[in-house]
Amino acid sequence: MYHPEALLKRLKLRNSILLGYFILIIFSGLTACIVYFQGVRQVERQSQQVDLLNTHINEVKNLAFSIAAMEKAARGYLIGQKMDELATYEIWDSQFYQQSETIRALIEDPQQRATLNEIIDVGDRVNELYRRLISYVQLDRAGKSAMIWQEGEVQSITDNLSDLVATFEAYEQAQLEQEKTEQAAALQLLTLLVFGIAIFSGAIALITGSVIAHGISHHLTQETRAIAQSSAEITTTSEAQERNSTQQAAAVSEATITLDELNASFRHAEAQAAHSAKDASQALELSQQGAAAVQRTLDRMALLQATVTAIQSQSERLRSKSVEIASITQVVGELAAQTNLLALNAAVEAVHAGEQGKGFAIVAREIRRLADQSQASALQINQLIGEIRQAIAATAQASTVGTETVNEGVAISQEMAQAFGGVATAVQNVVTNNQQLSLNAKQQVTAMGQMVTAMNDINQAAQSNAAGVSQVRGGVEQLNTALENLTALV
Amino acid sequence: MTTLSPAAQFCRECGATHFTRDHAQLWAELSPRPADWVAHHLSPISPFTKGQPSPEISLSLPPDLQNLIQQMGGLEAVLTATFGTGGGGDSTRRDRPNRRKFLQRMLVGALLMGTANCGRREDAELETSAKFEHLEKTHLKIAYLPIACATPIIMAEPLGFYQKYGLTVELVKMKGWPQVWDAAIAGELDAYHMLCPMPLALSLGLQSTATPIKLASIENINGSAITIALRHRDRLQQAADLRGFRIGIPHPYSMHNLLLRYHLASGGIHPDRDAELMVLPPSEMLSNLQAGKIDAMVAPEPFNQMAVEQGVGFIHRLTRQIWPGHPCCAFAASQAWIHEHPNTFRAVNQAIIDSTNYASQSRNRRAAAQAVASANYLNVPLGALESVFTGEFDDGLGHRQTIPDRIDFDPYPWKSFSYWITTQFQRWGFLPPGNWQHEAIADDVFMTGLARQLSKELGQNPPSLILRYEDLADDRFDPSEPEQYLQTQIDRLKF
Repeated sequence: MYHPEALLKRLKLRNSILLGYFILIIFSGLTACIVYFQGVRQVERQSQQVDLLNTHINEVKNLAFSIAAMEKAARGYLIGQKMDELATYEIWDSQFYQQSETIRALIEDPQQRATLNEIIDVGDRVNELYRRLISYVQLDRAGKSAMIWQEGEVQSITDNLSDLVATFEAYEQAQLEQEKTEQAAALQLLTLLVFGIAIFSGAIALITGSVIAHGISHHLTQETRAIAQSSAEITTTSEAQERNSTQQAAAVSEATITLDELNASFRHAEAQAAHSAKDASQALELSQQGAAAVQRTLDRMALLQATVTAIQSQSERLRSKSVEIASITQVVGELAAQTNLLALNAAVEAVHAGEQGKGFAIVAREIRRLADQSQASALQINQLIGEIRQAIAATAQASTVGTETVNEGVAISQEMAQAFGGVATAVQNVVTNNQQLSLNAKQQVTAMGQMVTAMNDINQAAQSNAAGVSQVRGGVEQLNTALENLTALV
Repeated sequence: MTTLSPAAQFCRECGATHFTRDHAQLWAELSPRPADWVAHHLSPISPFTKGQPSPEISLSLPPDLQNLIQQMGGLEAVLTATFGTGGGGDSTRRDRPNRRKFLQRMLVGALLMGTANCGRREDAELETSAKFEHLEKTHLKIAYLPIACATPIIMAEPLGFYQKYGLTVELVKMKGWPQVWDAAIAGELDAYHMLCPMPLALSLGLQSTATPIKLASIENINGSAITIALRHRDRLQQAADLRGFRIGIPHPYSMHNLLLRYHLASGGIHPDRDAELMVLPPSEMLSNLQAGKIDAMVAPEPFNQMAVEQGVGFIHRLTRQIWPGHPCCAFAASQAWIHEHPNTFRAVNQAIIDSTNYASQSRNRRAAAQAVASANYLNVPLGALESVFTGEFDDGLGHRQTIPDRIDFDPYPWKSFSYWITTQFQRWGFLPPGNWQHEAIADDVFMTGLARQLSKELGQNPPSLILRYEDLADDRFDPSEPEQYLQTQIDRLKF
């Protein structure tokens, strides 16, 4: 994936060159770090160690020197008995003490510590002894001092001092030598490191540089080739475009003419639509009038229906009254029969009564005749009522038929009203459509005008396009020349 | 021009190498141009060339040394006087000249810096705090007996001397000297308050296995007395009158015992034959005297003064009257402990020397008395202790006495002390007969050199000598001939 060339292709030229340098910079930093930590630091550490060992040796030498100086001052005093010598002795004693305290803190090696303690012990013993001798002198016992001196007590203490110092120094020197060897080795390693890393860095630089250069040149060649191909294609395309432009100009002219014709036709349609809308308006008005007439008919029909219903209810009442009359007439007939029977009875009685009943017999006969006449009248009334009832039945039948007829009339009128409503809606639609049609026609006319303008523009553009294509061809020729130069360079 | 006293170290004011009192004088007389001080050192030098002492060497030395050399007639004369003609060959040395030069310049630089920064105490404090890092141990246990002799060891705690040297010290109160003796042999504690003869006796293995104990510094000098029960006041005039007495002493290896024996012997009384010596803890001596169980006591303070004030006894002799300036108690530690804790030992010893110096100043005596009299330390009446410390006291016979050094404090362990003590060990048979090297014993036990250096660091002026004539009541002790002194004593008194 991360093949250098693939990577280079994805990077900008500038970045790939920077990347090349960056690898070198990283290697330089790495080199510096390795040299510092592996070489310089180690060498530094070792030279510090060497310094420390040298310090130890010098400190111990100084210590021994202080002891020697103490001895010299003490001897000077014992011989010359000058107080100044004693003062010098004190200075060297203090010096010795301070040195021994300092170096005691410095030395950690147990063996060296032991040697050091012996050296310090020699100093302490020498100090005590000399102070005793000095004290004797000051107590006017110089003879005792000289006697002890001659006994060689001092010499016996200091005899092995130089040996002790030599032992100490030899041990430190051995360590010093070891440190120096290690230091030399470290320096050699440092040298090797520096040269090795320099060569390695050079090789890396060479490889990286050639890879990047190769990558860039390869990349450039490919791109040049692609550009040449593209320029050829552009040439072809622009020629074709030139031709097309000419054809386009002709087509546009034809289209303009056609459009003009279309424009006129649209104007005509617009006028027709306006006329049609007006006619439809008139039809609408007429249908509305028809609808009003039907409505009026409907109103009358309703009135008629009410009247017929009223007749029906009156004839019903008539029929019930006639039934009542018939029952009353029957009662009257029965009363007359009864009266007739009574009158017969009265006449029989009057015959019985003889002369005295003769007046009554006359009255009884009169009553019998009246009863007969009442019966006959009742029969006549019955006949009349029968006729009336027939007439009422006929009226009821007729009014029922009338009601039905009126209902039918109402239904028909309602249908008619509906029909007129439908006609009005239809006509209304026609009017609306006609108005829309007229509006559309107007818009079409406007649009057509814009179209014509656009066509003219297109015509002009086509002409300038043809000029542009010629310029492109000139540019492509220059590009081809430049490409030839570039190919020569790569 | 003033010569600096070359024995000095560390000006108390500035820490440079000279006496404090010389500081102002030096400053007044030195050239006002510091450049003059170092101009001599700018030329390269080659010190100690064999057979040919270079005149430049003297220029490379510090000014005080230069003055010394000049006073002695020049460098050549000095070297000739010291080594003899051509005798310096063995001891001359070649060294890196740069190093020596560097050290010498450092010395001059220190002088310059020291005089210039006079009075800045922070330097000293910084130095001290840097020293703390080297301490092997900072929490110490120190044994002491609740007597006035222990004042420097005790006082160093409440007055902050231990703290000054980075130490925290737990003071362990002991009942009597035998307990201290046993603790020292067992190594129970870090360091000990002891009677001066004890480290010698312990190191010599008297009465027990030899245990090397070092005497680091002396605590008090003088500071004890022979107190006699009041009932004997009328018939007691001199040492000879002590015949037949039963006398309390704190320990066989005590200065009290040795001084009593010396005193009795001077009166012709043999301490073992003609009197009865009885070891008692100091704190119990007074009650024994009161109860009549003993006729007299050689007690540390303040029990003598308390006996006077309680009307129990009277002061027959101050030990100061027997041996003016005699050592009494000491600060000691075992050799093994010192070997394991060299820095801690130096620090604690220096703290105690510092404290001892403080106590030695008469103006500090009351403060010292107040610091130690309290119940957790000595637990004694402050008045009696102040009488002891100021030396203004009643002797119990109706006399008001003023002896300012009735007790005094001086840390310097004179080796003549040790010689005297070991002669007395021989005299009274504590040491078996034989050829004892008093000098070797003293060198082994008394750490005089270290005490001197620590004192110098504190700006004190310790003696250069280690021996002096000790003038006792009846004779003079010559430290150069201890055996002869012992023989004279025996010859004179027959014991």
